[in-house]
Amino acid sequence: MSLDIFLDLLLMLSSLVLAWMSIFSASLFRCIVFFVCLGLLVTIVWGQMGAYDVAIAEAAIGAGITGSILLAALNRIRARGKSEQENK
Amino acid sequence: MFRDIDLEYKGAVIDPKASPLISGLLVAALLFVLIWMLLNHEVHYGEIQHLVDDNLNLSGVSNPVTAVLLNFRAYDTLLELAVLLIAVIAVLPTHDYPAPILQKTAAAEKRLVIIALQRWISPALLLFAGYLLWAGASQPGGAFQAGSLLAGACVLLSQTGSYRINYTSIIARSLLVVGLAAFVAVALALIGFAGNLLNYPTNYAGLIILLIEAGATVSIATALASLYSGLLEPCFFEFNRSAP
Amino acid sequence: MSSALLYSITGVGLFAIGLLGVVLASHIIRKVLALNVMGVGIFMLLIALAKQNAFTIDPLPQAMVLTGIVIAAAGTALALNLMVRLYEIEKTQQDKL
Repeated sequence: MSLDIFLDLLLMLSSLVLAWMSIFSASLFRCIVFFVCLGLLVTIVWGQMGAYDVAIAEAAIGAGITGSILLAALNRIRARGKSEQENK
Repeated sequence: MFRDIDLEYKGAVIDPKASPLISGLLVAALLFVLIWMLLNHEVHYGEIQHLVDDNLNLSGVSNPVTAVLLNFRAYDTLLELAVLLIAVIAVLPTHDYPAPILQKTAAAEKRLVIIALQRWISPALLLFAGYLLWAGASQPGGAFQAGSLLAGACVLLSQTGSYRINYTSIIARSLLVVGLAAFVAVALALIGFAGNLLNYPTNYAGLIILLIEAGATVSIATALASLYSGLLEPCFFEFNRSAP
Repeated sequence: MSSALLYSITGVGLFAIGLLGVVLASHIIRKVLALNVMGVGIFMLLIALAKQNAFTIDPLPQAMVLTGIVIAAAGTALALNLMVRLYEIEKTQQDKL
């Protein structure tokens, strides 16, 4: 039994757990951070399966661009909320 | 489910009107049905893979994924570029201000680290994107990967705060369109020469693919970077506007 | 059980987690994240089904997943833009009150 199967089981378990935490975490910032981590983990999964083109694209688009877009949107919502709380 | 939309920053995690029990049971039932279907799935592969392998030397490139994306299924890539352009048009800021595409504003003192990082990394990113575009013909790489790397470089440039990129200027708009325009021009020219849509002649297939990929790289980079920039605050670039 | 079969089961599991998130989560950003998780699950299923043995992988699903990643990012950006516009409309109405 090669040791590859342990890496595969670890990646599978981690991606399932990260997906759960990415949706149901307490704070929104943590959700987005876990989503970026999920994107980087599935990059390794694509590499394990031999799909190297998809791995490069997922690392750049799925983790990089989508992560920064989500953080920019969160900042847009949070900035007004904070100023509201300070004015109260 | 969507009648009152929740936008509270510190709101509840689970919708109070949703019932976790019923949704959990239904999703678990779906999950079991899908896993049962996967375990009893009779694998039959090879039909299309043999077609791709046999015609790979006629396609002009030696990377099978690039051959499928830009030669065998080129129509899908053309439509994908069009869909990306539609998404960007929906997101671009509604007010266009007549500014040049790149403006240098005065940098605030507290962003020194990211400015130093940007100065070191941006040339390397540009070079690596060009390499990915060129190497896509024989190794993993291609237009989408290179374009997204360039988009990451543009996002880094926006984050330094010392450059202001105007994505509604004439240059930016033509960069957005050049990918789709190159693809459609090649398709129309091939209707004239070969009589068929996107039927590349075998001698020039590699060159045609490289031209289309170059246009698509620039287009994808501008599109993804403007998707990011459309979400920043309108006053993001207003600090330190008057440079000394 | 080959590793490709296990990965396809993981892909289906990710799809189910994302579906549960879309139904149950409250904030719009959580729903968007759950949609993206569903997308990642479907990509994993596609590529796991494309792997025939330990050495060769079918190039056609790879091209489909490549297209899917780009379109998913564009769709996420559009959804977040709509959310920001909705937030601004609500804020303007609240300021008028």
